[in-house]
Amino acid sequence: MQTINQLLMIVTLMLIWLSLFISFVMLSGAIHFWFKNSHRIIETPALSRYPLITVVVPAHNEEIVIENTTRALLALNYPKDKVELLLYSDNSTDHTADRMRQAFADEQHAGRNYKIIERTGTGGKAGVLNDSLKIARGEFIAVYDADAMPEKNALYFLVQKALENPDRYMAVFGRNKTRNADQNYLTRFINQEIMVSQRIQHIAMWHMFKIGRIPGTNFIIQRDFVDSIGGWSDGALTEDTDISFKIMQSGKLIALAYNSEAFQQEPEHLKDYYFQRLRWAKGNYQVVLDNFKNLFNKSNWRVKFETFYFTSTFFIFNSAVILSDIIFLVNFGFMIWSWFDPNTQMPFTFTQGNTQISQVLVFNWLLMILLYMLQISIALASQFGQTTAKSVRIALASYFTYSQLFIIVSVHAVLQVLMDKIFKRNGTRWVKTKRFED
Amino acid sequence: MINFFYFFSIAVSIIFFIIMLVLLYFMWIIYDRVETTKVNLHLRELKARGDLNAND
Repeated sequence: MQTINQLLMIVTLMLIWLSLFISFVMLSGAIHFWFKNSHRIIETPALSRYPLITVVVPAHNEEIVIENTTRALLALNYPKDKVELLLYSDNSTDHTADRMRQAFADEQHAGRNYKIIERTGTGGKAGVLNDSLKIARGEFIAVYDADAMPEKNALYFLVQKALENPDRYMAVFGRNKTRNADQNYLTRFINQEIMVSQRIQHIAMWHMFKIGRIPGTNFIIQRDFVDSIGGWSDGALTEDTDISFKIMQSGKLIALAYNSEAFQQEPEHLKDYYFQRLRWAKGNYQVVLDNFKNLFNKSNWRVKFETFYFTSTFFIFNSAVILSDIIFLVNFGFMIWSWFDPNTQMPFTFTQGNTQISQVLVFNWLLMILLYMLQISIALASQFGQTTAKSVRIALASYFTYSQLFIIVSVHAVLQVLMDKIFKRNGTRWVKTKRFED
Repeated sequence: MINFFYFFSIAVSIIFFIIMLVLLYFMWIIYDRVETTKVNLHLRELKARGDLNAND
């Protein structure tokens, strides 16, 4: 029993080392990118051509945010006659469509090419996107969520990147920033997490491996390609990841236009956050399960790499964290019990040399905290005005609170995915993220 | 086995620690570029993106 326990501890530590190694690779890639780009002057020269873009906005009960988003879309720095706006009020029971119309009421928007469609069909967001394919005239489809306010040049940068290599770049995606970052501690934590994922992970994946992943919003995709694969997967939790894999499988690329930015709203209450992340985590586990076979077949190397990355992040790393937490909690429980019964032995020990090994484990724990802080600090350092003493304190606080919450979300998501499989339940129920007034 | 694991883990931990110090140094260089010497360039970047009022 003692040997099994010791092996379990060694395996856990090695899994954590593997995670550390992967993080170092990503950080190195991101640092190299920022070394090359943090001093560049960004200019917006005229493009060689301006393809017609169909901007699709799926909105389900979004009366709180849709007007501002529509106004931001109308203000995009892109020729007005080259933008076709398709705004879908999808099964809304509030005033979403009215708010959309209100945004167009201004005289300056007379003559804009737009349609406001009050949809009653099924399929959620994927259903809306598939419906839009039937009427869209654009060469590219741009997708913006109802809460995503693009910056003026967001679409320009996406198209600029797409035109760099139209034969290979089937889709181009930008970055998202938190619109309500300073609302409370939860949104501050989320803001830092988003910055790490956008300014470290996305950047590093594109810079080193030319791998991109279509996010839910602020991206364009070649219309012909979407037609060729039969549109979006209806009702899937992971329609964006699904289409990303299809692009990579065909040997094409999803390019990152890192200057294209849109502001999106993040949950302000813990409950809303929990269910949003639960849905995302379930989607990600689903992606791993659906694509695991790609590791062993003749798939494109980028698909294999992406599957490996997903697997290591969502299975290996999470398993390591959960195992080490269990080991810690069990030992801690036995330690408390030993105060009442001195004969109690802790189950996870190395007997001789126990003190030294404990020191190594504590040192590795400190390394993990340092790595966590380092990732956030590098992401913050790459953006003007973000590195402050307060943001560093928030990063440290989030390690002990916010990031630990994700363990609960992960376990919950794994259990739900397993239950869905065992009982053949439909686990793709969409839980709408709650919106807030700006 | 425990002795081997002990020394191996110390070696790996030290290597990781050194890598982190190097990355920390690089972070400082990026911070310095973005925050001090390149402030004006960054403001121009914000202007080019049409977003001088961005909240980050």
